Amino acid sequence: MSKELVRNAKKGDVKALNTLIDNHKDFAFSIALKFLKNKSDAEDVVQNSFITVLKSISTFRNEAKFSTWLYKIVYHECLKAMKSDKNLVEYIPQYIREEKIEDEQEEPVDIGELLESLQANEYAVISLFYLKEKSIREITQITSMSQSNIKVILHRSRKKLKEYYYQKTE
Amino acid sequence: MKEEDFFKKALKEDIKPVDNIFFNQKVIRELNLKKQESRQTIFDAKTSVVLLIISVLVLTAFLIGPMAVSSTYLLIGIFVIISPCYFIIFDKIYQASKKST
Repeated sequence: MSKELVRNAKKGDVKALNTLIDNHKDFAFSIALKFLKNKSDAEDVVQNSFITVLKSISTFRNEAKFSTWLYKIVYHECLKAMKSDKNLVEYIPQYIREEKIEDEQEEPVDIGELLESLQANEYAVISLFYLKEKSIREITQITSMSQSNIKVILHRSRKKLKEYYYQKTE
Repeated sequence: MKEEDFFKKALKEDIKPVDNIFFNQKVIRELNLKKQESRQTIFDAKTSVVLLIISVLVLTAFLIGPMAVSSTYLLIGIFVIISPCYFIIFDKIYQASKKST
């Protein structure tokens, strides 16, 4: 199915292109929104990323490869946009700011608030892992972070979610 | 509910949908525009290469064959051979100038 979809999109089939965009736009938008905190900027980044990836669609064999490449572009475009925006604090994904985590130990009221409290890179990593079922290797490709760094982020965000989960189930 | 299922459900519910109804259209339109832009070529490089090969073959056949070829004809022949190369170069210059504007 995914191979067929990519094959049809390669031929320029508008229906296939629409399906391919629909399958990934909301997730990509959520990640971009988490980083940029602005709907319009997030939409622009996702749109440009789609154009870049779809231009070189002939190099992809299946949708998994396509999505990995798409999320990689979205992720890096967000970082670029954040760096160019002087109002935002410079974001360096390679370093985990432990002091900020200490401050964020207040108990969240609901799951939405908990997810909101996650840092953008934590949200991206955990969403890619659980929702898009990407392997740590693929997340490494997407984020350009080391495998050990991803494991740390995954462990930390999982711990936050687990705490909330056990609070609710108790 | 298992932990993992809970995580998946929570993350799925947290996905923010794109409001813009023209999102897909805009991407596809931009894509088509970029395709059209890249299609504009004055001389097709493939055709020029085929022309170049044919010219070389014809001149080689003349040189190897029993007919004697004078230096003037040889010069004209070489000019004919290299003319497809000019087409390729012109095309590259045209493409480069289009990108810079």
